[in-house]
Amino acid sequence: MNIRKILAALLALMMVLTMAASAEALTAWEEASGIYNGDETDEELYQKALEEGATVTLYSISSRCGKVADAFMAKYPGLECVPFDISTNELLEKVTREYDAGQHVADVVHIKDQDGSMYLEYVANGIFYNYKPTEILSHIDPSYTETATPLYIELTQLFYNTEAYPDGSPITNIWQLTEPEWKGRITMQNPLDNLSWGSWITGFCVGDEPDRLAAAYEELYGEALTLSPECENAGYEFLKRLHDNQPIYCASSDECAEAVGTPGQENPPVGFSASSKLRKAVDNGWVFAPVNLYPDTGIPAVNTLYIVEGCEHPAAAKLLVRFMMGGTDGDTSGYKPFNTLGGWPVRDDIEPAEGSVPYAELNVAGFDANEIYVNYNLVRDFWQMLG
Amino acid sequence: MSRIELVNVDKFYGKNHVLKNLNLTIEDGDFMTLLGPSGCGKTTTLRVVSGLEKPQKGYIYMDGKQIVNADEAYFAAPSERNLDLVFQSYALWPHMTVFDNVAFGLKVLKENNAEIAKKVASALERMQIGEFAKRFPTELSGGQQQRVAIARAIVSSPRLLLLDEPLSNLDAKLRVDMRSELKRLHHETGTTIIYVTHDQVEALTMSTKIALYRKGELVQVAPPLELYDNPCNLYTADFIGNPSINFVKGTATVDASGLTVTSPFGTQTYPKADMTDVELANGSVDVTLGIRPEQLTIATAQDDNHWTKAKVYSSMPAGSETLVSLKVGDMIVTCKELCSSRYDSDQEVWLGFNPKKVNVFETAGEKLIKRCV
Amino acid sequence: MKEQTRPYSRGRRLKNQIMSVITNPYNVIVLIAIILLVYLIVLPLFDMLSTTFKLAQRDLRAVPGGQAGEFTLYYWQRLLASKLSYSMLIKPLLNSLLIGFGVSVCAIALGSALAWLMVRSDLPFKPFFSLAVIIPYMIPSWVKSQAWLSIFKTPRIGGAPGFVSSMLTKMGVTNQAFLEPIAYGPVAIIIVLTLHYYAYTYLLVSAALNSVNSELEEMAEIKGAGKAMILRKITLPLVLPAMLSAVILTFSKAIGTFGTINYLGSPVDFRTLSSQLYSNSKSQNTQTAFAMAILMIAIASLSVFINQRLIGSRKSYATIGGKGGRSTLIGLGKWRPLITFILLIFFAVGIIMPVVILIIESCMLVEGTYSFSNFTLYYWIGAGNPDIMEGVPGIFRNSNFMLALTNSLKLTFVNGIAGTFFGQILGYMCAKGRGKFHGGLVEQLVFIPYLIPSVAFGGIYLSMFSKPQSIFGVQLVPALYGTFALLTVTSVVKHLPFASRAGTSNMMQISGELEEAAMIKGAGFFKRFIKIVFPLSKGGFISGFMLIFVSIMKELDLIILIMTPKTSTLPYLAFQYQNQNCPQASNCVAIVMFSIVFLVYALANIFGDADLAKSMAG
Repeated sequence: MNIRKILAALLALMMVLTMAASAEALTAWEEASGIYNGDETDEELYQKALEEGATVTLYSISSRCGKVADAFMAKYPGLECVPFDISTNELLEKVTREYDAGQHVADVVHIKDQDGSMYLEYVANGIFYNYKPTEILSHIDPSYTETATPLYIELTQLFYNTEAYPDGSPITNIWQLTEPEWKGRITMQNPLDNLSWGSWITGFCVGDEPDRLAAAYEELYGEALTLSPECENAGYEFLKRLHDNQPIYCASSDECAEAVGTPGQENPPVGFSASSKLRKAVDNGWVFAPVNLYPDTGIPAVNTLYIVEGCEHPAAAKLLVRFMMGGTDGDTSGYKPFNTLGGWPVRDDIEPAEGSVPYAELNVAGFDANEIYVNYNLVRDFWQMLG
Repeated sequence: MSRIELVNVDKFYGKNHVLKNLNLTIEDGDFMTLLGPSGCGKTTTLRVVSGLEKPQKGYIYMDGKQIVNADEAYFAAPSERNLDLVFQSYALWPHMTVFDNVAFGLKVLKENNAEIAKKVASALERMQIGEFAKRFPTELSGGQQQRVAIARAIVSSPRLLLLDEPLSNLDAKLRVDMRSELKRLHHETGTTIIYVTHDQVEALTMSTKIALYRKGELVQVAPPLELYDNPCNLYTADFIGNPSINFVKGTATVDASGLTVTSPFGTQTYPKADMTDVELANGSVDVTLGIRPEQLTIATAQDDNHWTKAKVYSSMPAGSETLVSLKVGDMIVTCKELCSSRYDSDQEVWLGFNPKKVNVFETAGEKLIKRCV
Repeated sequence: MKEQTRPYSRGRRLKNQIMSVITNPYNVIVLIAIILLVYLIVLPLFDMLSTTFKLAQRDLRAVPGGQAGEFTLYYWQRLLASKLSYSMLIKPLLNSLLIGFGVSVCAIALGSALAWLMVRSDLPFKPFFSLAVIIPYMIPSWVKSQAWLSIFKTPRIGGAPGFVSSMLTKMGVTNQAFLEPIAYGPVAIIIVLTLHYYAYTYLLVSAALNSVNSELEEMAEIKGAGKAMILRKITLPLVLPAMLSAVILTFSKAIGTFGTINYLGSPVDFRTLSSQLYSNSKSQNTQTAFAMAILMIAIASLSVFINQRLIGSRKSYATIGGKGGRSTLIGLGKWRPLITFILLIFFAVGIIMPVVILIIESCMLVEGTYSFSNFTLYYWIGAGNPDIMEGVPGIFRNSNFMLALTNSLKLTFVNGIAGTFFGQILGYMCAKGRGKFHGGLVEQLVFIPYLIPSVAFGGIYLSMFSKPQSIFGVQLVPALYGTFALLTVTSVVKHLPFASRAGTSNMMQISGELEEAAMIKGAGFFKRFIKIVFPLSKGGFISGFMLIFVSIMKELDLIILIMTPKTSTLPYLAFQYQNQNCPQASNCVAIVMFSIVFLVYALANIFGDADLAKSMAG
């Protein structure tokens, strides 16, 4: 525990030093691109973008990047935006290998920093940059902008079948999931399978989350939680009991949602799934609703934008980042594709999609990039050990 | 038109020693047949001469010019040797017409089209397959394919023609026809020919010389009749001749005047002049008489020329000739009579032969010690 | 005879030796090929290996005091000798072996039986059957997994139950626990993979059976052996080498596959080495993933080694009987109608159904609702309705689809032809060099890409060729990033194992004497290759092309890293539609892919004398 605290402190120190160093002496690219300058106007950037090549390439983990590109090109005639929809792992593999090889293809990267590695590995090493448009950032809670240029927030939520449970969720407290009734009836993705689920389980074991979990347990059962020998806090204990209840692993988040939301089921499972699946519910005829779980539904996943070091179209990249974040002129067509059910805007001046529960009313764990990053391996190994 | 000389040639396939210190000279204009059982190295010799295989040791000369020097790793390319090869499988290119097959070599040499057409037509005509020029090999019979293969080989008038068991895939009658055809070809072109076969009749009827192989070694190189009459050892004697030669065990005493042989066929004496150079210790030695079946004659009663009693074991008349197996004591001998005659089984007869015509071999060394004269 | 007396000169020997190597284009080409293969195959492998010994920055948090990039045994120690070893390596490894052996045994049995029926028996409707048996090779295995689930899915894991389960529920059977082991887990995986990989056995064994002279079997019959005995004592031993060869392909593929394991294994937490590899790779544990890949390569190499030992000198069995021998069909007698019926059912269920399900699903407005009012052709030809698929038009009205289609066709045709060409040349070397060092080396080298995971392979190539390649300061290859050339190099090398295998068997069929005859005529290496070898191998060239074509058409993992946004292909589009939660459109793309492959195969079969079976033998 101590070692991890020290490590975290060291990391924080390292970050500060990196920042300080970069403030002292700018690289040629930093100088030329003016990456730290957040005060340029859209018009200035548009002109520069036209001059520097009139194109910008966006690597995105969201299939909605195509719509963003279309909207961007409609708003800024003469600029070409090339979107590339690719999954997290391939995106990182591609962008790092291209970067190492000196191929500056991607200008803007849209990805989630779920385990803190984007900030602690990519930003700290000067591969990615958090561009900070001053005017837009003034509308965002500073806790989000510390380590990221946030786009919107997604959650991993518990869903239940509203047809089978018309009176509301059968589960309200997270510990109910560990009861025998739900054995083999919880769907989720295997946390070993990818970074986002790995980070999500890590979130339960760090910060003040274990204490909140322990309190929730006592509240539900009226007695204090007894930790198993291998569990050092209530977070690990929860994961162990969840694992013991044999969750059913789905191949994708969609499958989890489908398993819970398909109508006509007699004894449907409950399941964790990305909140973004809410927007697909109508299309697919799913009958499910999210639970505002107590004490919370785990850590949020903040979608973040980065500008890649050395990119050849920094002005267009900045313009695209501003555009995607909702701009400053009241035209939010760049953000619109993301403003759907299951996604929450970070800006205080943009309303969430119609029918959304206000973010403030949701129970969400705190996100500390450092804590998650340092503990990620330990928690993943813990889950691996469970079998 | 070409003299080939192989000197101390050794060829290995992995650990398998295929040619063992081979020395062979093929004189200009020879029809040299390489004869032996399968796997004895005759095809390998052919391939070494052609340049398709590289021997590990030895030299080969063609008209005095070195074409192989294994010590110095010098191997002239096949195409530099002015020779051609007919494969056992014919190796006709199935995707080319007969004309293209035959013309291929000339096209490689970039001869002009008119010249090519003339030469190909002449080669096809010589092999009497002119009308098939436009066909593909698969549309021809085996005998016709054979002729194409030969036409392809002779079209560029090579100085040396190599033939690898070319007749083995033909039926009996075609084979006889092709034999005379090949002999005629040799006569007309005068090309030096090296011919590989395991068929001794082919070898005896066509060659000017035969090289007999045994397990990668040359046993005897001689004109066909010499090979037949005076095989240099028991192996050759046994291999050449159909039906096989009769071997009769006996003993002999050697002295200054010559050789006295005693066997179930009585006692014969031979003068020194009939004997070979093989060194023999004076005194008694074990010998084997080699008596060709056609040398044995049969009589129903004993006379001066028929002195050994025998019993007919079986008799096989075949029209022009009759093969008779006979028992002399415990030994069975074969006799070939050039007429149609009938014997009853177990009939008692008398055998004899012209002593001058038989071979005598030393049993231990297997070498010929008395020649047929 | 003057020259004979010329003294031996070591200098001349050396000069002659060098000249004979240099002036023979074959040697030069073999040399170039080996250098290229080492560069393109061994180097990436070495890169993977060295990566597993380098500490990654992301693992500094686990190794106190470490420095990124320094030498470490952390990954191997963690994998092989830590408390995690059991759940991370041993258990998945055992599962992998279970799947590998299970699939091998079943696929060999099924494939051989089908091959025997198709080649040696008097089965009716052979032309139809022989076309149908190849189809599984063309359908991606995830499509089959989905089809499997739509039949057997149980209510326990939620969602719409499968066909069988709905029927049972209608009949009042509520306790459906017995369906579970059929629906998910090892049994399901083995069955589905068997249906995918039996094609290898079928192709290899039917080629071997074709070359067995039926007189050999008739001889045994004359000797009084019964049909079963003939099969066991004569036919089986003769095709055994082909079967063992099929074991290698099937086993290596089965332990390397991921999609099916993910679909059918996840619900019961059944994990194999390949799914562990994939998870680790998805979780950015590249080093651990590579280490697992290397272990898998080692296992597969071991199986190749054992196989070679087993086959040994028997490799030439199949040709002893010689081609062109008579082939008398064996009567199935009273079993004939029954076997025909079973086969028809088998093809209907195992092959036609996945395709039909795919087609039906592509025409369903809402997934999983089986009613006529739900029928639509929107996903095919819809003009763009904002309520469906977020307003994206049907694929035939979609410019993205047209772009992907063009790219895919270009990629598959160019790479198919390039791959086949190099495959034939390498096959020529393997065939001519059989039993020699260079032949063996080429054969071994060429097999390696078969075992390197696609994502890793693609990634390494991206790194290698994104920078100009130079040696001693001379630039050999310019930076290929984003070029079509890089896509080609990557897919060609990755598919070399198949291509060169097809090439080898093709070249083995061309008698060496045909070339020697030309050699005597003075035709040089290139002339021989162009005038003799190449025209004779045309048929095999087309079959080889088909093998690669089919496989490149389905490829996604390998090229997704190398692709640029503008060079997207059909599999990428299918993946994107799946991401956008639009399986119907994804199915449409899959159907188009399948149709192209099937069409090309049918055309090649009709006009080009292509025979997949022939190109797999040898």
